[in-house]
Amino acid sequence: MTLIPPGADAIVVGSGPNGMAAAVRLAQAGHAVTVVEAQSTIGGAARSAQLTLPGFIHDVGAAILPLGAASPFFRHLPLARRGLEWVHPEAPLAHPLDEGPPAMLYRSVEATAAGLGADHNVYQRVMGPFARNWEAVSEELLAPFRISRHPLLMTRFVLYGLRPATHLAARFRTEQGRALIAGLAAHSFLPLDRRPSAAFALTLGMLAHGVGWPFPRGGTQCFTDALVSYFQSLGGQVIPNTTVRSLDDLPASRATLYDVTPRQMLCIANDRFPGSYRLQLDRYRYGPGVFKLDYALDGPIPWKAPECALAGTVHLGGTFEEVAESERAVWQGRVAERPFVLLAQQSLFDSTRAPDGKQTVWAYCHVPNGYTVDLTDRIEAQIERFAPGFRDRILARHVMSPADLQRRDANLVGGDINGGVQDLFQQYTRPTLRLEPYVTPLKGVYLCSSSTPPGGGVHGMCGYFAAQSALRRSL
Amino acid sequence: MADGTQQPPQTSNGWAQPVPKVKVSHVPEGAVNLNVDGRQLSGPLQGFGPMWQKTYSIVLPPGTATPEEAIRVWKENFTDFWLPGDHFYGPLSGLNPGDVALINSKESVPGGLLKLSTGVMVVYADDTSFTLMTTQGHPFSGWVTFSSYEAEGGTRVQAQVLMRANDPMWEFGMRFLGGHRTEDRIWQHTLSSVAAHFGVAAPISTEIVCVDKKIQWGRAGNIWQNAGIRSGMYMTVSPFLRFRSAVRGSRRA
Amino acid sequence: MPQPQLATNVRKVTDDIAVLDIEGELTAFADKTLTDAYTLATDDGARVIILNFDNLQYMNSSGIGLLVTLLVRVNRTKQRLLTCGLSDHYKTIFELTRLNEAIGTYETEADAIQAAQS
Repeated sequence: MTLIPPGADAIVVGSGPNGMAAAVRLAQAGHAVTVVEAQSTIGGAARSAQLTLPGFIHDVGAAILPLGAASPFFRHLPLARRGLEWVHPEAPLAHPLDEGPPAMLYRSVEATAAGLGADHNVYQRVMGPFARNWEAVSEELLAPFRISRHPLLMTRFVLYGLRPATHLAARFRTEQGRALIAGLAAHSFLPLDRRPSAAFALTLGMLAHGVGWPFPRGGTQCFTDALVSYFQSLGGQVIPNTTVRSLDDLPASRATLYDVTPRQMLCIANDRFPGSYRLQLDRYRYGPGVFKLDYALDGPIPWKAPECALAGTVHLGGTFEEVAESERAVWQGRVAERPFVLLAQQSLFDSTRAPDGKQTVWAYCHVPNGYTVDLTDRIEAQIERFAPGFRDRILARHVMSPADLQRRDANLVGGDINGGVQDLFQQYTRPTLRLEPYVTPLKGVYLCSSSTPPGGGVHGMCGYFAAQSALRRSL
Repeated sequence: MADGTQQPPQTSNGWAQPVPKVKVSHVPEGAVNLNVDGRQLSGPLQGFGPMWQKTYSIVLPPGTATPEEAIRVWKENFTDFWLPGDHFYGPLSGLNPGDVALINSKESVPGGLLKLSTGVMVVYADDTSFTLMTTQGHPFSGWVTFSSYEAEGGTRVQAQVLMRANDPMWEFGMRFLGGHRTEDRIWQHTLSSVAAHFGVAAPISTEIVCVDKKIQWGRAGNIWQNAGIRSGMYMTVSPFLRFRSAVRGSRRA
Repeated sequence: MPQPQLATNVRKVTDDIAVLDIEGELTAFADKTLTDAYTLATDDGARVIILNFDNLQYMNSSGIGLLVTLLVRVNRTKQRLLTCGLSDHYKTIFELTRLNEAIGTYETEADAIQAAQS
């Protein structure tokens, strides 16, 4: 283990987006901050690597970053000067169907609505106000529980969003409209008849219109590298290859922030937490995991629907009913024969990711936590269903099961990429029911991972608010 | 030369010449020239409080203005883009290296009870940026750089402040009397004015970094040039001075 | 976003002293380049950083701002920052911005190294 030099005002354990956000916030406030990271590469779930063949850059974890672009914290940082460049495909999302044209999510509310036929007005009515006020809504959603600064807007959001996605989809009459809602809501990792799955559909749809669904040129690693570079420009230090197994592994500092989930925090703190807090952490619920595939292709995906080639992300799940069944199955401990697949084809719009004429593909489906069955065939069958000839273009593939994901990033417990279930109860009581959820009973020890509000996603707000708590209390 | 009638000597590459003491050669109608004449320039290394770097920026959509156009407009309208109720008496010929401008401000002082009289000098100017540096006694010791460049598909227009509170009194005001928020308001208003000039309502991005949290206790003596104290004394005394002057004038008549 | 027009080269001249050769334009866009060079020198154990401005072609006010923030970082880690090779033009700028009161300036690299060792 690398020696951690003493003298820092604050130490952050974990270099994922939340850990780095916390570190940057503390460094911005003038403090000397050290980040320690167990892996040899920095970034947690925001890293890239050549997983298949030389010259093919794959995003190991997060690939499409609308929350990163919209983040009330990240978007004010000078990351563009540090090498971050957002790539915006013409369409954020395509959702092909077996029959008829695909549902398309464009940057424009009007263009999206126009493509939904009879659902044109419904889409405008539902999504329009949120798309116009995406900044205000984002700031409210990406914050811990507090009194709203935009009560009218958020009342409207709650009225629509607190419901199951089934209720929201019921407003739409066309297959395209309903399928679009299903795919967006499925990002919640909840069954579509459970609250607040509709909120995820509204949020992701709103962000598509507000900031797009962009991704960093060169890979998600470029986002992390820009963040680290900015952090270092503020005097911060990053130390990789350093696993923290106990509170005593770290030198004394005024604050220590842990970008880890409750399970790891319990191990690190050993018996130092009081019984009631330990019990709450122990009862913390992890959600479904993911089974992930990365491909090196000999050419672009041969979509049946040509519009799919306009989109950075493609949802492969068919109708609303199919997607709903797929998500329900996961919560019943199984995976549907035709699972809902989330696919990204960044290299179509970013030529730095693959050699000339070749392409990369990133794809995953939801699985029960810790699932061990290989789903390569099922995922490829789903892709083949909407892109006949896809398999013929595969040069190489890289498989990551939930266990593989957890090995690469200990925070992905059982393959859970959100740091815990994001249902109504646990969304605002993560990881415990406390006024300041980032504060632990131990003086100067804070949690800053996605197991705190506002939960999963590359937005850094968990880290930001944890840092704010540390600034108020310890620094 | 606060009205631009005479060009001060410049170095090449947009920089002003160093001056041992700032000189105001002409005071425009209505301006109060206090705390500027005979003062040294004071940068972020000469201040008292923690050092802050604050960056306020907007991105004008593509096709709105080039960086050169944005800066030209900003220089030409700098006085008009200032916070309402405050006055920036800039030179008529635009902002050139070596120009000195007077600032009479109510907004800079928390509570608005005091009309602060201070000034700045243009230390650098080119087609896409210009920098104002403060004089001794100004609420903050440092400089503000206004710049523009192409970024994110549009034109980024930015005001970046690098400063320390000048002395213990101003540091108290920054920390406890809303001084930082006032600072934010001034530059956010200016940027909004630039955007509005081009018919754009762009969101303002604000990045605030505490570059050095240490207080430079050795600079506590800066309080002897505190422009707020001197402006306050002037405000108290000036009615009597004006009365006396009027009486003397009528006696001569 | 304009590309940085600054190139740097880090040379370790003694165990404790590193020289950063600055070539090109020191503007706001040089932030990362300058920071990376400083980090490289510091990670290699340098306690004194000498900025060699022999090949500096241009510096605007944002470039001066970078030097101020670099100085703060150097002071925080109890290192020293010196300069050499400044032309008369840039010495004037240091005087105007009062940077000369905080950063030692020397004619040649040898002078700066000697000052660092004394």
